[in-house]
Amino acid sequence: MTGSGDNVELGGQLGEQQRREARLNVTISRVLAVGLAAAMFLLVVGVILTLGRQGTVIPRKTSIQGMPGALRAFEPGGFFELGLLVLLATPAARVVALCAAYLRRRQWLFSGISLFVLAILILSGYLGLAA
Amino acid sequence: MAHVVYLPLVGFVGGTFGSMVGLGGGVFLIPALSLFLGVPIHQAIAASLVAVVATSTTAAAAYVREDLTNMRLGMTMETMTVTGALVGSLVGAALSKGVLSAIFGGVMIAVSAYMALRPRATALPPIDDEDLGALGASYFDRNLECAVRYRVRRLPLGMVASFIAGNVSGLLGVGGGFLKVPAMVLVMKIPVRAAVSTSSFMIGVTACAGSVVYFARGMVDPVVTVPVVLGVTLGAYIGSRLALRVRSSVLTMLVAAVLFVLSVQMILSAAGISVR
Repeated sequence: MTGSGDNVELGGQLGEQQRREARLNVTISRVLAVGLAAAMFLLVVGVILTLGRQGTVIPRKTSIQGMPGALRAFEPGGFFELGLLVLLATPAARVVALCAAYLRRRQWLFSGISLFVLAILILSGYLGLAA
Repeated sequence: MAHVVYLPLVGFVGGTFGSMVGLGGGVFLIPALSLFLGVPIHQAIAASLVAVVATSTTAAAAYVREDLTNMRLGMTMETMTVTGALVGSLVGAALSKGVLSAIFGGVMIAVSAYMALRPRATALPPIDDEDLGALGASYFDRNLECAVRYRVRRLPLGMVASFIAGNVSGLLGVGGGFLKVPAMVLVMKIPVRAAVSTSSFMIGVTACAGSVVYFARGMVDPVVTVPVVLGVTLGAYIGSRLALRVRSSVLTMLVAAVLFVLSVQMILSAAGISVR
């Protein structure tokens, strides 16, 4: 079959490809929106706790080690740190989501590129901690 | 030390005007925090980087949903921006206050020139060929009421510009869109709308790479950063809606003039001349 039959098949493939791209766009947009909303929620909880407790002292430095204890004690500083951490993790989460999507589609070049970006983000954290 | 009440206000103003003229807000936040509120410049840079993550995430969520963002191109260029941001943040954390202020003032003069002379949305020649290449894409332009298709040209030059933009971002706490957008439009021949949205998409990850270094080093002060982030996020949300109702050319020239004055003040401050 040639001519119009081929065109119909090509059109179908393009249509399917566009639908897959549109689905991926919605997924990535949701990852970003949910991460941002979660971070803002945690930061606002921290602000409310600060305003509700007279004389609360907020630590002036971030400390990942001290965060779980601060959260257990319901201290505003713990919520601030977790909120900031969730905010910083949101772009990284969308890199992970894109990497997973490219792997599922067997797009090895873009899977590798996503993994490289993720590796640099992890290296940033490691070098920051090491310093 | 800055009064905490002013911090969300500074963030709000930076987020509103930044989103109205297509900037992340870092170029407003750092001089406002360091010159007028007395925040040490390293803390101002760290707070600005986290705020840039928030504003770019807000913008990118909307742009991606509207199908304007070229994610394959964004990821490809991100390999250079995150590497640049990592190097820039490690160098920036080690530089003295005076040197950082002087570099920032110089970069801000470049940003104000970019704002005054930046590329306008001009029609590119139509592409009839089916094959747009591995990085080319198409989107529906609501203003032009037609599908816009484009190929990506001169990728290596774009990658070099991305590395420089990432470096500036990590070093100075700004998004770097003022470098990436002109490079994408003028060198890589990408339509302005796609370039702006792809740049926003990339800035979140670039700023993340830089801010993770500051965060892990304990240089992100929550007392400064949290009010700024909340203010800037609200400002970016409102600014993106106001942008549709305001004449952007007048606003852009006004912002360029303000940035120029602030950049001179930063350079004077670096030379030890008080401007407050």
